[in-house]
Amino acid sequence: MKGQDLFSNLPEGCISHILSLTSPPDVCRSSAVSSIFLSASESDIIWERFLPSGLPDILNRSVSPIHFSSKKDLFFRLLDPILIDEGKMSFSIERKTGSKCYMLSPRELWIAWGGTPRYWKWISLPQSRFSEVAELLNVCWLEISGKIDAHILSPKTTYKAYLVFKIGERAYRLGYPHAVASVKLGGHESNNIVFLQQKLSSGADGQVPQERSDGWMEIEMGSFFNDEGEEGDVEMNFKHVMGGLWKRGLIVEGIEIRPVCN
Amino acid sequence: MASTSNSTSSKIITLRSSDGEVFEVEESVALESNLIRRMMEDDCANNIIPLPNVTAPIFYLVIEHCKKHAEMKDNKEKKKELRSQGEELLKSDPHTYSNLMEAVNYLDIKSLMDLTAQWLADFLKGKSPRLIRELLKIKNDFTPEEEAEILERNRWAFD
Repeated sequence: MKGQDLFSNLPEGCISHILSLTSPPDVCRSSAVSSIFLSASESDIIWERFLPSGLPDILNRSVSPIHFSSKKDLFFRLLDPILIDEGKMSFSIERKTGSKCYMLSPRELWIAWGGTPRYWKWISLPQSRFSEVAELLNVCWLEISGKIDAHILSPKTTYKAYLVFKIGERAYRLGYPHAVASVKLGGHESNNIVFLQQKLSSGADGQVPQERSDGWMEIEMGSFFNDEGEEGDVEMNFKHVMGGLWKRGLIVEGIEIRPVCN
Repeated sequence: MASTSNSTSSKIITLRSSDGEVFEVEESVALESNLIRRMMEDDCANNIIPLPNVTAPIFYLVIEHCKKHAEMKDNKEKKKELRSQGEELLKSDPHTYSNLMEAVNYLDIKSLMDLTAQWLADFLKGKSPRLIRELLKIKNDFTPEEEAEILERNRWAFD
């Protein structure tokens, strides 16, 4: 064996090319191997490959301009959601794969009775990424739906849709009985029994809310596989109408569509 | 003299490795290398083409893989098999891998560059920096402070 380090005769661009064939976490881990790996890991060749397609168009739709010094910088900036389309949606990327994530703001959703001030109130909250969120005052027919064109999602990717919400202080009868959520794309439909609050008693099995890192709660509505994005709209629906009971206190942040990470 | 071809119909190119061994290679195989292609365009074709950066054992490997690569066209099974051989070579003999990669880079052979790059990429996936260094005999040239800082910055990637 030569005294010289292996790979030290390879040009840095060659190492960058190799790293571009792995994944974002692999590149970040490999950057701690040695200084040649560290400097190769900064290359635009790598991060350009991890950034999703159609990005220039998305950045053009951003509410505030996105400045970045390199493709890697851009990649890491987009891990935090940016507002697009006049603030009606947010966009971010998933850090392990670079796949696209979106959240539809409540103004971009269809909410039954959402336009009637007696039933729903539009408020602004400092914890929200959007300028307005919807607070439920009183309804017995609680239904929310949204859709997103599969074409704008990452291809060959399994996604899940989540209802993102908070339970307000004056919440009443949200957790019982169960609600039903569905996600539909093309011929595929996925249905979930969901509970907005932890179940009080045993009975039907279903999804329960999980706490998110941004302080909101989320509940899984269903999943779908986006092949080439040519199947039209993904339709997502949440319906809490059983028993005809009056409910109040739900605060809706939006519906998030994000890739499933293995 | 080593011959890598039985065919008499196609043109034969003569090449000499850095350790003086002479190879006769079919033109179609030799032209996979953009370096050799350029040298031939510069009219070195009637002479023996010297390859001062490639030793005979490594050149054998290059030729062997060029042929394998040509055979596997449109054959998914073979492609898979060839791709999976990298892990073994990298584990058992990283030195030869590194020499092969350097030779492929020097000879500028696109198909083999893709293959050997994929080998190392597959090998790196999911491994810790320490394990990569250990298996590939790479020296850690960071100071402890630098290393700690890089690990801290990329902590998310180690979950």
